[in-house]
Amino acid sequence: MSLGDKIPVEPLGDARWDKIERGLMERDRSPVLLDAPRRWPIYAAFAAAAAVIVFLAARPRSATNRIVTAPPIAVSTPHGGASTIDLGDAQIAFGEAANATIERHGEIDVTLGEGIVECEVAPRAGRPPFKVIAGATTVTVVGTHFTVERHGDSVRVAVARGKVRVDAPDGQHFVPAGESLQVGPPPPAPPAPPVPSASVRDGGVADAPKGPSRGKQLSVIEGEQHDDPRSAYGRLLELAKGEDAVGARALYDAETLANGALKKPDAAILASKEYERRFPDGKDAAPAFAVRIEAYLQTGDRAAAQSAAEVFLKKYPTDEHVGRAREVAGWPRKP
Amino acid sequence: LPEAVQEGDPELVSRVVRGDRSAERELFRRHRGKVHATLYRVLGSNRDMDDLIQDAFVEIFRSLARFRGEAKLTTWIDRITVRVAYAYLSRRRAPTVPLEIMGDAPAESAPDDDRVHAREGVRRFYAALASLGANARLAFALHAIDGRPIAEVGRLMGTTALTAKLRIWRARRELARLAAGDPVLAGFLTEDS
Repeated sequence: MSLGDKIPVEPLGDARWDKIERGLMERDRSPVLLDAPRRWPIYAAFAAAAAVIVFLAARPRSATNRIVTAPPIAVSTPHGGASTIDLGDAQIAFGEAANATIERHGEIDVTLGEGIVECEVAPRAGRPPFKVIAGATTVTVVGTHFTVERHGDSVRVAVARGKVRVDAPDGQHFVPAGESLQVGPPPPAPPAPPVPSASVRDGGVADAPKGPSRGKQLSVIEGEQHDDPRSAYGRLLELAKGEDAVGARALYDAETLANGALKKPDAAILASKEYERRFPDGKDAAPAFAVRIEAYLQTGDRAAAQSAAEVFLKKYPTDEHVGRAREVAGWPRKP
Repeated sequence: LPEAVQEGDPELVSRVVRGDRSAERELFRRHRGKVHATLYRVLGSNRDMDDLIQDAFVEIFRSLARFRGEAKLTTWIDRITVRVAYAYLSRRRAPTVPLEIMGDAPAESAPDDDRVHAREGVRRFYAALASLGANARLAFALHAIDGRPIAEVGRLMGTTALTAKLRIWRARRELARLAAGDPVLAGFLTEDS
């Protein structure tokens, strides 16, 4: 049973919904604007910031530029584990199966042997430079929040905030916030070690290979599916061949992608039926069925949609999509 | 139902943007369940829930003028709901109930105490979540309770999937640490995290 199953959402009841709706309708919708009398705090903040800047510019810089030398720190995390190092002005979090060393010798160098590292780094002006070295790729920080993932020659840099400079074998790149850069080949897909017990949790399907590598692949595809849905669809179908929870999720993702971005409702219907056959107790069994109803509607087959909605209501009477299913089935709304 | 909800939404959005109150009501009624479910799973049973639902819809109505239909309306609403939850967690951390004053779990629960025991598990779980930072709590709740894929959690939180994954790891690690000293919480978390 997942945590979501253990925490049923408490229904609010019609009277309370009415009250919320009435309150909502009475609330002001105009954009939040600062009126004139309240602008003085902004001017005060600007003045304070200017004073701080003048102070920082005028103070001796030796204190902030001092070179700190410390013994190197070796980091190695197990599968399923994680570790965080706090260097004061930089927090470095390592994902599972990562190994790295952190050296401080006038600058901070994180040499990543393998795995994922996430860095939250304060702006470097007046502080030692901060670099992540992943093989032939060096990521230099200006002051930002970013992740570096390395698998052999494959290095991926993703920036959440700020900007980093990446010196790679093919040249220098600047990666701004919200973007990522792949250096070298995409991560290989090593065979997943069998994890018999863990595969039960997500889809109720046991005795099938499931490992972090397949989960990681799925996560990457899910992240990229909006950019290139056609490519993602093919890769999802490949992953969906597995009989584990990742396979189940990939099949459901492929179904929603087919019905959504790819506008292939027929493919979505087939995927939905395959999900029902292979993963009858899968975590996404209900939504996978629900999407089928919509796919039938997209094809214009109203009768099939109605029939599917009736089956859905019998199979999943408590699912969150029953309202819509009742609507398609032509059943009256629940009081 | 994602695709069906999209049908008819553009017209509804246009009417909302024009200030049509009946369209606002319709949009509210159509999406209130999902907004409430997301807020509930992230924040738990909460006395500010009514206000938070209103906050979310006020923000949704305000923001729809910028909605270009590039994403699904449901995704747009999800993002705003997550922002409202984050703002709430950031400005006012839920009161943390120290685990040691919550009382020990009954050593042997009678079968008809199962519901009480489950409720206590939920209570301790949300007390434990309250000790997490807003980002870790939000990422964990969206993934582990609301069942959203990691990539979607990243998108909703305006960050990368890798960052979302690390936040979830941190939350799991902290919850495991707390569960080590709390058998009720440990029992609640068993079979999942």
